[in-house]
Amino acid sequence: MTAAAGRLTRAWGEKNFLTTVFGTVDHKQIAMRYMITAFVFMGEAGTAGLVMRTQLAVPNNTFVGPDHYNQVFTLHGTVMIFLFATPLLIGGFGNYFVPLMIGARDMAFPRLNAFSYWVYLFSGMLLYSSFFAGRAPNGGWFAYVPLTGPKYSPGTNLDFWALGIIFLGISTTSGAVNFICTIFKLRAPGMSINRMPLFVWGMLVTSFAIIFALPPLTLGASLLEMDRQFGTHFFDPDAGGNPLLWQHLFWVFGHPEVYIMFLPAVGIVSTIIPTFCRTRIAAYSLLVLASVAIGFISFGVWVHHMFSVGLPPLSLAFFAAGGMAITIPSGIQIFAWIATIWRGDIVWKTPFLFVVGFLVTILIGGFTGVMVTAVPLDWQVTDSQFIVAHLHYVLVGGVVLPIFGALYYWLPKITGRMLDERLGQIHFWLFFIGFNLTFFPMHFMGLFGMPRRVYTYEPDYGLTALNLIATVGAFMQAAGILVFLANFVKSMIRGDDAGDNPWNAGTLEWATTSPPEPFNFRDVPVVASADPLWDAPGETKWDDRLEDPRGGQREAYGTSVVDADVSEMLVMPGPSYLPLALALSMAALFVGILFQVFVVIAVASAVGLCAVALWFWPEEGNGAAI
Amino acid sequence: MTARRGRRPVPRIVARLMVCAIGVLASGCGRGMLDGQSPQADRIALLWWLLLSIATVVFFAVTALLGYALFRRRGGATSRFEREPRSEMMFIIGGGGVIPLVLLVVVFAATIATMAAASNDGSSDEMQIDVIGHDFWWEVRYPGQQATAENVIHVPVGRDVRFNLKSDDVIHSFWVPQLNGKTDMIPGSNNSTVIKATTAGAYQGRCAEFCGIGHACMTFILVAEEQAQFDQWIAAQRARSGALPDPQTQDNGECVGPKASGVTRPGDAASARAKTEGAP
Repeated sequence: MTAAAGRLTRAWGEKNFLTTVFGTVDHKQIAMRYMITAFVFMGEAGTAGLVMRTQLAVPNNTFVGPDHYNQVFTLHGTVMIFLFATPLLIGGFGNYFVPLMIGARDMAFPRLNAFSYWVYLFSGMLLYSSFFAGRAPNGGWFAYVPLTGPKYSPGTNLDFWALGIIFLGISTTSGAVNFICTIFKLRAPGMSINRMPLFVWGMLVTSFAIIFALPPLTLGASLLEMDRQFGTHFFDPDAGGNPLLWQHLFWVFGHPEVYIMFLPAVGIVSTIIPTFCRTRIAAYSLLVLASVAIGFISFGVWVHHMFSVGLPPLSLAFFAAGGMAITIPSGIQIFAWIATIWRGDIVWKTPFLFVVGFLVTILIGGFTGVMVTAVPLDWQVTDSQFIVAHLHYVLVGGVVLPIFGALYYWLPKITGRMLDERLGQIHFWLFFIGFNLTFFPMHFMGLFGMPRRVYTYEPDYGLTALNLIATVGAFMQAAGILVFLANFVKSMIRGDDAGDNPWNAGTLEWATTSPPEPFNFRDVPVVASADPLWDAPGETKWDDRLEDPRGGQREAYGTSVVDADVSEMLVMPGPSYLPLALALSMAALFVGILFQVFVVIAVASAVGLCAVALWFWPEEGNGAAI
Repeated sequence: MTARRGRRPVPRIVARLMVCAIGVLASGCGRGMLDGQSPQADRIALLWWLLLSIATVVFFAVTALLGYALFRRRGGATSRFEREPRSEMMFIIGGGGVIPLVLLVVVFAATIATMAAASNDGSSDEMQIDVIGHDFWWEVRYPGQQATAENVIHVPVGRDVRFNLKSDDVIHSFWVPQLNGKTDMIPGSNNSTVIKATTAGAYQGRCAEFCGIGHACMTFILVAEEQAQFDQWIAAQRARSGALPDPQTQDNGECVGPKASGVTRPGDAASARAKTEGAP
């Protein structure tokens, strides 16, 4: 270790075990926690999926009853969307790789970052504790009123859900603010906005989408809680409320949420393809525009979840057109990827395999997506198994396959060890075939008249064979994931050393050690192209002026939004217990509201306010500028 | 040469897939939306076949492009896209933007046309039936005829029937796949849908919006019959005593079964609701 690295480690490293565990603000530490937590949640929600498929394997099965089944599918949807895919992509991959890809030392607000994680963890625990209390939410992840209102769902099941969602929204929103600021202000000198990696673009658009999509959800869930706990009547038709208000609020969030997960996944695809095709991405600007366009259009399509509620034909036509319009930027993306592959020289490794699987499945998900925007066809297929097929082609084919690709691609950077190629391919084929076996037959089930969210069906619909195939497929997917876990364990025990850049990739995260030091880069890269590591030698320069931190402080460059010219010197905050304290007090506050214990509410609020005050207490020497 | 050798197996795979698909459809779709028995369902099925045809062609075209891009022989020479960046841009914008746009215009026009046909305004002599969704059964009223029914709806064949749909509790959705798409039944608002059954027969109908513990059991039978039989049935319904019907759901929410015979018992599942909510 050089002297400079030693000085930087003293400035950026954690002092001892306790601060590491409870006080760290290192984006890489926080990202790894996100990933592990999200995977634990995926294991639980995936098991819920297997329970459903086991129940539906044969007609008139009695493996679980209707009450249990309703809890299981509610948890499966809620956890997969809110606690697995979104946090893994944004809190996990985004947190780890956005700072590395833009050549930064950390996120813009490291303590807020730690706070986001703690809130995510506690809100997830709050949601999941309902399951162990035997009071799991049972109104579906979409929680339609009046079924979820006080009259038809007494008991605390739905309060766990609504409060958990409000609480989690705080984490997601603060994360989004953090990403926007990081991407705008902490890019390495020279990384003008047209040189930003496409994954970073995806994260940027997604973060903006979060900021606009979360408020309707939080508002809706708050109104629902007020109806449930304080006797208001926002959604109660008997007292002048309107149940459709909930559906609008939920889907104004719910549809953009699909793209909030999809855009980072698309960014992953645009990252993996050039690396394994040994060529720069085709039509970079069009891909950026496509992401931005999808971000915008995603806010104009929510009504296609509500085509059968009895809206006037003109608004149906408008939202049908909106939904179809998303096809254009998506088509541009597909063809840009194909062009890149065409031009390139292919290296068949596991990450690329998953991306090819993604390209095939997302086509099918896209086609069925157009079908459900065709209003009259939607009247037939909505709320049937056809939709289950469609949404899994989009979310598993379109999001989970890129997630696995990203794990094979990026885990060597995180752990410093390669994953096994052969196990990786077994994983891919098990999962890919299992996935198609599970969900392709569901298209037919829907066409034959099998609705969603039913715990059983009768044997006389031609459904028996299809359901059995789907169940076999589900267990194949689970086997694929177990192979992945085995692969991970094997790589940790005796995986090959990854080195700095095992894939010969072009982006900056591969310019540092695997795993990276706490300070990420010893010297700050000065970027001259979109793929700095593929430049001719000497084109990317290294700025060593931060090698000797003044006063042992955590120094970083702040750069301008468009051109990334160095504009200021930032001093970043170090480890702190305050994010944990604030998140804990908020968790106590939500538990207090849940059980209506006013002492807990009062104490938690007071402690939380103290934590906020301490957090913002002016510190000597913080925030110095050049 | 390479291209020709690569292309050969594809039609065989396509043919095999088609055979499978047809086999599956023939065996199973007997009671689904593709076996329409009303002008509305027929129009929607037509839209489905149009969209499926477009999707199939585009899917095989794009995967063929992808396959070629992946497996083309790379002789070390630079590809055309590398030599002519403009041809690459034309490929991306043409294939990913222009062609989809043209297809979407067709799809949108077909959507609007089908929407007008499937949500027709009915005719002046249309018959009115009120259906009210309850947890977890269907209350059927024939206004002006003083007849009621539960979980069974009889209609005269070949006549426009307007269903006025309401809910007494949570949101339900009225769905007879062979006759028309879904229309939600929302407490506090009135929806309606028009159905004209062109073939006499008994059609399975069911609730399509998740409505709670008895959702899976919330089914009904719609019987389309000749006017004379229908009149007889109405007379019988008018004369029957108002005995409380058997429930469709058991106390734990499980369906009263087996329903494999297609027999649906009229019901009132208040007991199931009371049980799960812990209310007396």
